[in-house]
Amino acid sequence: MRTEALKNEPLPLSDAVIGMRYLVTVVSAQGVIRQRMLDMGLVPGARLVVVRFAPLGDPIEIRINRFFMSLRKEEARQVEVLPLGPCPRREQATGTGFMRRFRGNC
Amino acid sequence: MATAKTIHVALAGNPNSGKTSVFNCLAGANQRVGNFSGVTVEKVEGSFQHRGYTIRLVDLPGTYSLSPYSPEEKVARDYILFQKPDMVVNVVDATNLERNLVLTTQLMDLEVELLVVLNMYDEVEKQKTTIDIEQFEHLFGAHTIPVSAVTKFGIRELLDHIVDIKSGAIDTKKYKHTYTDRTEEHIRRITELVGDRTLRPELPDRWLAIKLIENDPDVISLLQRSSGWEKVRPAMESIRADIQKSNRMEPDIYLMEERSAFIRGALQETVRNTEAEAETLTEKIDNILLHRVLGLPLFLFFMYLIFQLTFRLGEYPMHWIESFFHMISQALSAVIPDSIVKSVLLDGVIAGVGGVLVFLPNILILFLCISVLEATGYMARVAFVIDKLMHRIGLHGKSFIPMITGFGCTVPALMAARTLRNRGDRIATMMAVPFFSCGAKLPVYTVIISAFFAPGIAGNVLFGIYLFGVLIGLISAKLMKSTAFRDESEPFVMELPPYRKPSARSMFKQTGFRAWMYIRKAGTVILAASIIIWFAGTYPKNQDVHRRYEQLRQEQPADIAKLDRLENAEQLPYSVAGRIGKFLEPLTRPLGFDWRLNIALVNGLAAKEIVVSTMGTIYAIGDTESDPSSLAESLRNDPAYSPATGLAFMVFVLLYIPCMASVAVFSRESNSKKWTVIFVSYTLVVAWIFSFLVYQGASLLGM
Ligand SMILES: Nc1nc2c(ncn2[C@@H]2O[C@H](COP(=O)(O)OP(=O)(O)OP(=O)(O)O)[C@@H](O)[C@H]2O)c(=O)[nH]1
Ligand SMILES: [Mg+2]
Repeated sequence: MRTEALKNEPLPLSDAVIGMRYLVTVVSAQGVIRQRMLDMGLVPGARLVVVRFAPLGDPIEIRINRFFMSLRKEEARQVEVLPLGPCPRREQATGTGFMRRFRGNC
Repeated sequence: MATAKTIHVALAGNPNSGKTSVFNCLAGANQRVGNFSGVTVEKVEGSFQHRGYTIRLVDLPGTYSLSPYSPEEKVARDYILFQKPDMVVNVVDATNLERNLVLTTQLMDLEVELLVVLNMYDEVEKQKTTIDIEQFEHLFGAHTIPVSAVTKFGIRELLDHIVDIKSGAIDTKKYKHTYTDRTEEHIRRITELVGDRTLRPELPDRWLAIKLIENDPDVISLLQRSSGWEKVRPAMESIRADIQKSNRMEPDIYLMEERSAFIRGALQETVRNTEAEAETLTEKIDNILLHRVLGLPLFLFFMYLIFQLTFRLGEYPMHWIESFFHMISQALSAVIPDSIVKSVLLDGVIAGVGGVLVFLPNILILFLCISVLEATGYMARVAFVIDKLMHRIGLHGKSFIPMITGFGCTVPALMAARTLRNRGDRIATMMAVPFFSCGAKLPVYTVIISAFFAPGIAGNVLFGIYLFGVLIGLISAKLMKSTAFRDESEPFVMELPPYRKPSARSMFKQTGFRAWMYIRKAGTVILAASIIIWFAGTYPKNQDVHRRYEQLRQEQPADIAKLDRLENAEQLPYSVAGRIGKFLEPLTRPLGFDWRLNIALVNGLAAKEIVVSTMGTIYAIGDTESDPSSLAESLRNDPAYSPATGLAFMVFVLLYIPCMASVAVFSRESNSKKWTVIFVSYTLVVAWIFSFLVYQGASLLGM
C-alpha cells in the first residue's frame, strides 16, 4: 500500500494512506455533496493530509491547512488526489515523544 | 421609539465560528453555545440599546455557504436573502480563515452592508499569529474588527462600529471583486439579463448571476417560474459552456477555485505566523480519544461515568433537600389547624413540588455533563467514532448528537435533528430520540430503584435502563430506515473542531439557567398540577364511607388524625383520578400496574416530572401511617407492588410519549400529521409491549 501510494499517480482519497500529503486534483462527486465538499475547502488544488481512520475503519479524518474534517470512504472515493509524499510533521510525530515540537508545513 | 433609530443586524458565519457567543455578549443573552457545528438551528432575536440606537440582533444557524445544505442552513440563507437586515455581521473564526472567508466572499457577492468580525482573536494571539487588519480591510473592502467573545475583547468596538456604519459616521467601503476580469465579464453579462426586473427583483442581481453560473439548483428553481427565465437560460448555458471549455473544469469548481485563490492571495499578504506549526494539543488528545482500539471503549466509558456521577454524586444533596421538605412539612403541620388548606398544602403542594425539587441535584449534574461534552468538542468526535455503526442502521454519525442531547431534554433534541439533511434521516432520528431517556424521567427511576433495589446495584439498574432505551431507540431508527425511508441516505462530511476548555463561568451560567428553568417549572406547571391532582384525588367523596368515618370520629375523638388518613385512603378509588385509574386497569393489569400507577402515568403525559409529583400526592393522600414516610418507602411497603412492577413501570416511563411539548415539537419539525400520529402511537405501543414482557419475565424469575 505504502509503496503504491508513493508512486506519483492519482488515486481516490479513499485509498490514501495515513500520514501522507496529497494534492486534490478532481472532485467528481455530484449534487449537494459536491457543493458541501467545495464549501469546506475540498477543492482541486487544495493540499491535505490524511490524519486517521475512525476506530471502526470508516470515516476518514483529513486536515486541510488547520482545519480538520471527516468524510466517509464512500464520499472520499469521489475525490481524486495525487500523492505528495509523507507529511514531515507526522513522520516526526510518530518517531518521537509527545511533547516535541515539529517544523514543517503540509 | 423612532424606527430610524433601530438597526436590524443579522449574525452570519460558518458553523462553530462563535456567532452565538458573540450574540450572548452583545445581547446579554444565554443562548446555547457548544463546540461543534449545528448548535443553533433556529434564528434567535435579541434587542438592546447602544448610544441611543435600538439594535435588533438576530443570531442565525451557521452555514458554510449560501447554497443551503440542511434545513437549518436554509433558515440562515433565507433570512439574509429575504428579511433584508440593515447589516450583516459576518462572524469569522480567525484561526481558520481559509475556510471561513469563503462565506465572506459570497456575502460580498450579495452586496449587503457587511461587517467582518474576526472572532477567536484570543486563540489567534496564542498561536503567535498576526493579522494585518488594515490590509485585510483594504483587500476585502469590508470593515473588519478583531474580537474575542470569550475574553470580551473588541466587543465594545463592535457595537460602536454597528452604530457608526448605520449613522454614516464611517463610510462603507465598496467591495473588491473576488474574481478574475474574465469571470467578472461573464458575471456582468448575466447580471444585465437578470436585471431586467422580470425575474426576482427582490434578490440581488449579481448574486443571482453567480448562482446561475454555478448552476445552483435551488436558485434555478426560484427563477424557473418567472417570465424572464427563457431569456436568461440560453445566456447562462453558453457562459457555462464557455467556462467549461476554456478551463476544462465545471463552472462551480472554477468559481470556487477563483475564490480560494483570492482568499489565499489575500491571506498571504495579511497573515504572519511567526511560530512553526506544531502538533496541536487537539491532535495529541485525538490520538488517544480517537485511537483505533481505545476510541470506542473510551466513549462507552465516558457514558458510563456520566450516569454513575449523576446518580452517586446527586445522592447527597438529594437527601438534604428531602429532609428540608420533611422539616417544612412537619413545621407546617404543627402550626396550621386541620382543614382543607392544610391538606392541599401538605399532601398537594409539598408532596408534589417537593417531590420534583428533590431531583434538582441529579438533573443539574446530568446537564452539566452534557454541557461538558458539548463545550469541549467531544460531541463531534462521538459522531466520528460512531458513524460506521450508525451507517449500518441507515443513519448518520451526526444523528447521535440529537440522541445524546435527548438525555437532557427531548425537546431541543428533536430540534437538533434539523442538522440532518434528508427528511428520512431526520424523522428516523426523531423517532429514536424519545427513547434516549430525558432528565425528567430520572426522578421516576430514582424513586423506583431506591424503593425496590439494593443500593449496591442501584447504579447498574439505572445504567441498564438507559442502555435499554438506547437499544430500543436504535432499533426503532433502523425500523424506520428499512421501511418508510429505505433508499434515502445522507453523506457524512463533518468538521472536527479543536478541543476547547469550557469556561467555568459559562458552564456555571448555562447550568444555572437550566436549574432555574427546572425550579420555575416546579413553581408553576407542577405546582398547579399538584393542586389539581390533589383535588382530583380527593373529590368526589363516597357518602357512605364518609358517614361511617364521621361516626367513628365521634366515637374515638383521640384518633381523628389517623381516621382522616384512613378515610382518605378509602375514598381515593371514588375520586375522579381514582376512577380514571380504575378505568385503565384492564389495560395495565398485564403490566402489573394498579390504578394508582395509572394515574401517575396519565398525568405524566403532560410532563414526566409530574409522574413523581403525582405519586407523591397520591401516596400522601392515601398514606395510612401517621408519619408520612418518603415515597420510596411507601412504595416498598405496599403489598401491591414487587420489584417486577418497579421494573415494568420504569420501562413504561422510559418508552412512552415523553411529554406534550415534545409532541408539539415533533409535529412542527416533521411537518406531518401522519408522522405525529405514528410518533404518539408507536411510543405507546412499544412501551406497553416491553413493559408486558419485562413484568411477565421478571415475575417468572420470582422478582
Ligand atoms: N477561544 C475562543 N473560543 C470561542 C470564542 N468564541 C466562541 N468560542 C467557542 O467556540 C465554540 C462555538 O461557539 P458558538 O457560539 O456556539 O458558535 P456558533 O457560531 O453559534 O455555532 P453554530 O450555532 O453551531 O453555528 C464554543 O465552544 C465557544 O466557547 C472566542 O472568541 N475565543
Ligand atoms: Mg450558534
